[in-house]
Amino acid sequence: MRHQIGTVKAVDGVSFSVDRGQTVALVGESGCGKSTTARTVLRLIEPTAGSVRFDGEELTEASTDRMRTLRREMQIVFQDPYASLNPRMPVRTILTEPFKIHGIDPGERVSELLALVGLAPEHETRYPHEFSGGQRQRVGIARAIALDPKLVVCDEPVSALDVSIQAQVLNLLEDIQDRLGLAYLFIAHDLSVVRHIADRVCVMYLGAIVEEAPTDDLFEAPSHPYTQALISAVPVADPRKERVRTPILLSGDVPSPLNPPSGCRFRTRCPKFAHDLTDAERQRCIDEPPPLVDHGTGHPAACHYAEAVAVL
Amino acid sequence: MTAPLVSIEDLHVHFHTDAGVVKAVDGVSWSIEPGETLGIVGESGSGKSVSALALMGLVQQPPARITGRILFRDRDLLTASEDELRSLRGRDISMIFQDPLTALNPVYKVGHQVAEVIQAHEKIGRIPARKRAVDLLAEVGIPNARIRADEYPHQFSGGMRQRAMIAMALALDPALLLADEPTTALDVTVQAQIMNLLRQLQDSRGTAIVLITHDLGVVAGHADRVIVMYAGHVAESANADELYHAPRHPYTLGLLSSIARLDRRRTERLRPIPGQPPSLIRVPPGCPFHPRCAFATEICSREMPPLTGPASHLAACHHQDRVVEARAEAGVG
Repeated sequence: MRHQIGTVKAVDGVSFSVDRGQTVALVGESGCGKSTTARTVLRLIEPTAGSVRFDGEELTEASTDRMRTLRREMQIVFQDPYASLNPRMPVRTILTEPFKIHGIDPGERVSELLALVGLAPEHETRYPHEFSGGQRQRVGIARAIALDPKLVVCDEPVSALDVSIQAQVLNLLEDIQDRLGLAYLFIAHDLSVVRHIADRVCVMYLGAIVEEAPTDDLFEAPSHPYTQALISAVPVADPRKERVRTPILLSGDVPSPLNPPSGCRFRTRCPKFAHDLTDAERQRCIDEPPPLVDHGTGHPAACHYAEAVAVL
Repeated sequence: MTAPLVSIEDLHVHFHTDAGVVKAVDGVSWSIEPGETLGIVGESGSGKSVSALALMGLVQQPPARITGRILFRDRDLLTASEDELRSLRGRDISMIFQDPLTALNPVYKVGHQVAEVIQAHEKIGRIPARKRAVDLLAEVGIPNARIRADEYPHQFSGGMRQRAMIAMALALDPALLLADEPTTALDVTVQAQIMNLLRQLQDSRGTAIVLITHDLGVVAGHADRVIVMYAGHVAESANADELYHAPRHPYTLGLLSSIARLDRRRTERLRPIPGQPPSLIRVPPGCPFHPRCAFATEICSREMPPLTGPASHLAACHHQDRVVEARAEAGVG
């Protein structure tokens, strides 16, 4: 006997688009739905409702066969290359797999791919455990771009890497984008990395996008109280700046997506709701979910009382 | 200058394994004064945590071989008995870890675990110990502490678990808290809460904190002095302002110029440090950083540079002058 006790709306009414050759970042904290969103784009998770269009084609209605063909065009790089590379396959086999699946002769592509991601030709006989974390991520990237996709989802591609290696991999991702004209959907919790790599940023909280803006606008003039708190909480590697910055501290924990707050999902932790609003204004946050529209700050933010504040 | 609370002198921690000798810490010295925050930064395998673990007496010998001195209030902990260490741990020195879920016992209630720390060191009844545990949980910002004390660790969120760990660590008002990546597993807004809490507790209790992390941002915001470790050695040691604005070691300079910055518009490209950190079984001869270093010359592959400079700013590099000249070009300063 099965008994459903509730519905987790991990992602609830999210809309965004990624242009050719562009990098769009989804940011937010654990459980905000950023990875679920990205995986739904690739249909690794089936959406309950809604539409995902790739090059004009509706993916949610595509047949399994059609989907397999389309996956040539959209690939993913995972956070942990150790878990996402088959430990029993040498790199040559790992990189030949995508061609085999799609019935293509790899020709000289494996050596080209290795060169493109900065690995040596002799690396093709090695197994994943023989590589460092950074090199493994290069193998993961080579596999993702093997079939010349148009879109690569990068799900926390540098979070597991050491600081000195992160820059190497970020530069590689940028070089590849320049050469192949790829679009990236970039999932990250590290806002510094996002500021460097993204053209546009969507900030997610509890399954919804709360703010969307071109990268520099988002960091220089965040308009949603959650974005402001998020940016203000990231420490900057400069003691003089850090001494004068005060993070906006949020109270409590993220509510359960089983039972999100009514109206605005962020209101239970919102410093503005707690300190700056009148009772009548608060009632609106409780009753009405704020739409993701431009409230006069130049870009959309899902807050009834959005206003740009500099927090850096 | 006040007397140091802890001073570590020429510490070596070597692990003898089948694959060879892992020189996790290879001639490291540092000290910390009462009430001070010392940041130890480094990447995985730099040995940044091992000196703290040795200080806690948590490195088993064998397989490890430890030499050098670890002085706590002038007592050498390396020659202390297990009984002495046990009475010191928790009371005078305590430690918090990256992952509070593995550090807390899953089958005991959180309040019980905090009370247990107190009862291990003081002659105190169950009920007063429990009351103090509840007070501590409230002090570290756990709402409804009386009720939450009767919950198990899995019922706590990550941030609340780290708060509970901090309550346990500070239960007996230790003089020194070793914080090993205390916020690495946490979301950034929770990280801000926890670091804020640590600072408040430090201010009210005068605790000295060794903050071990790979995050140059967290250290910038909280450390008075910073040690940068590379391959089991101290590369550079300075007060925080000097380290970030006037680094003298190529590795520090490389780290600072390779990280993406939240507060800067996108520059052309990041400037990564080439290569990767060495395995601690095969640390390069001479300066361990020389194979990755843009400043390296022949001497660097032969001679390990000693830590030189004024006591307030030491760096282990043969070419500090050239590093100083290169700062502006690297965008650091």
